[in-house]
Amino acid sequence: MKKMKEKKVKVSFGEQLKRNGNLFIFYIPAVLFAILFYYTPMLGLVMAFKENPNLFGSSSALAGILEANWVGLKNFKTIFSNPQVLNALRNTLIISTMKILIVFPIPIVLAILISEMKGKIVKKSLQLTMYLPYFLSWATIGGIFIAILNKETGLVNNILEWLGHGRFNFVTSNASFRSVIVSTTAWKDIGWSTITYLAAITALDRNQIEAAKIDGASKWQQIKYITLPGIMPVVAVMFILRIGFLMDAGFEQVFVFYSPFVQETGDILGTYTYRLIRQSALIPQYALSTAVGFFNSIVALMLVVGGNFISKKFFNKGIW
Amino acid sequence: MEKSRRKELLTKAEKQQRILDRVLLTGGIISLGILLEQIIYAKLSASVNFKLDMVYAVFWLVFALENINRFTKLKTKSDKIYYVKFEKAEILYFIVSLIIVPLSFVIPSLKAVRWIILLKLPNLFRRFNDEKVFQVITKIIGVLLIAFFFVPFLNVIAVSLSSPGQIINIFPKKINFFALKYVLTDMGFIKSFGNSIFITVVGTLISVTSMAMAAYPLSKPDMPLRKTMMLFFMIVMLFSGGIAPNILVVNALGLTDTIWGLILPTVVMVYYLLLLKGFYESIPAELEESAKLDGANNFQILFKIIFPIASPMIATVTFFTAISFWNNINSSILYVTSNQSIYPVPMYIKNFLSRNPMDVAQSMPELLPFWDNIKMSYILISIIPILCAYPFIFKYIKNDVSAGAVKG
Repeated sequence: MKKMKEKKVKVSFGEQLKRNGNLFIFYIPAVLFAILFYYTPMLGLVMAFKENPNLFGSSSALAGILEANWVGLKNFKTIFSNPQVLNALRNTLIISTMKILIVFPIPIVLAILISEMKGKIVKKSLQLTMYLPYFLSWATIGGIFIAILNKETGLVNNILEWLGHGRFNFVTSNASFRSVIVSTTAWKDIGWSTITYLAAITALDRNQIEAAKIDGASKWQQIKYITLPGIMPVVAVMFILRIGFLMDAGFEQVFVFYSPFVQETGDILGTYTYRLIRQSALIPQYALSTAVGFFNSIVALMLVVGGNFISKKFFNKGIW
Repeated sequence: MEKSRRKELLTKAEKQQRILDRVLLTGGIISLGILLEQIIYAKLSASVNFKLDMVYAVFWLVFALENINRFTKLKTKSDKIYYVKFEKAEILYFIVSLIIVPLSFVIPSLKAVRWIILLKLPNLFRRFNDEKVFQVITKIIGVLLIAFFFVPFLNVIAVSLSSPGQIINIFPKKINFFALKYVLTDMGFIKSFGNSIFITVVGTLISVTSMAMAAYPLSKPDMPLRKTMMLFFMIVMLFSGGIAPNILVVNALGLTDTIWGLILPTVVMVYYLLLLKGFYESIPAELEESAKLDGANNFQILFKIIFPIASPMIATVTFFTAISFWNNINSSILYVTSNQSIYPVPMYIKNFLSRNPMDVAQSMPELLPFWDNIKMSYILISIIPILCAYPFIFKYIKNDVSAGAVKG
């Protein structure tokens, strides 16, 4: 019985190949780019277990990497005994967690607010303005907010002074750098994230709310007992998926706002690995940088796959 | 009064539960108050604290007046008895807040406790169950949010149009076009626009074509090695070699400091591949079968049947791919070391913003007073293309994205 089944599969495989074999051509460009720019760098991860390759002494980067001696886990021991790496790791986790805790719930509230709002003018203009920041580059947003938070001329400091508070340098001080990162994330993303929840609310059964209204439920009760439970599956899925990106504290964003003054609270793994290669060190520290990146990728992979697994298991919904 | 009558019907367990809830709520609010006092108030200066106190006092006064108003409105005696009997919590709140709040202005250690005025809020919401009040509240929040999202843009416009040396918030003062003129005649900036357009158009073309093609075999259920290929692309999405190997690979391919280095490494966008695959799968198979009977081969089917049907989805993907290419600064940060003439607009701006004005002052001292205005003018000009595209984007968001979000 089993054999027959296998045979059947085999035959159909050959048949499939005959029928659709020429479709493999369509893969070529995508696979080519994926191999060049994603799989080849993955091979480069061997650098994490080797000495720093001497790229100037050897004929090519490949030769340099191959010639370097194996050192086992020495690079990992080095990075995990380096206070700067530990600091970067801590900052990555703190900034990500702050983003999740503070920025994640806002779109849900906002979506409920918009869906309950009557009257077109405020509703339309709110939607018109809130999606806009999502389409700007972090470089542009960085420029805008560095100017607005500027100590001497910035809008926020003008308001603070008008309130009688002293002026404060937000972007270059350790006390406030993380708040700047979180609030700019909020500015950019909350409008856009609202779309998902708005769609979920629109998909809810309107009749239930009407029935609740007739039964005398207050607005608050309608939201608490009907709307929120209705969109809870979507919220849960989004939350789990968001947790999956915990290791990504936003390289572009932090890079734009970063300055050496805020190394203590603002340096994340992304900026740290970048600096190992492009700044500070006289010899680019490829091996150490790769080791940090490797660690980051592995943890990120586990989080995403785990999150997706949970999401699929309990809510039947995932990224793939 | 209906509510009070409903309370009469509660069982003992329910009553105890309510009391427990209230105690917990009060405890929570007081600890919140302590937290706020410790963290926020300690950081603010005395005058701000005073202004916040005033705002607080006004709130409390409004709440207290509402309480009194409510009691005086009760006409019949039975209503009043009901009120005293079943609204003990409110009366208690009223008396306690009447003592604590005025005292808290004198005795600072009571400041944390006075946050119990928040206890009044749920009551208020419940009482004004009326749609109108809710609408007013949402509209106030809405207007505040509009300000939150839009004021930064107003500030950009105001600063770039103003004369230097003044404090500018959201309206331009003493309009001066010097900064704008300087930016518009900056050849490097105009060149960066050219770069951006090139990167976006070519990158989007390559990316969307290869993704739309690769998604087709992935969507066919009887395609051999389909699962393997899915895994191949999933790995691309989920795992990366990190910054260092990427830089070395791009370097080894000779793409560092060339415009292709800003295009090719980001061409594979697996998320959109999956989106397209999902859409292809929803196309009925009968269409393909009938075309096959007519003698069409796989290529003809893809280009003549699948692409036209999937055009709305392809348009969506094209649009998002284009946005991500236009806004991408990651590639410029990683793969450009010295050749600044290939910078796209965002990176050009980032580069200009991080320049020290004193370096520029040596060659062009007349720019120095306008430094802030010039920065903002760069940003303003760089936003304009997106602003021009935005009406279309917005219209599209309203139609398609929400529908897609439900599905995915």
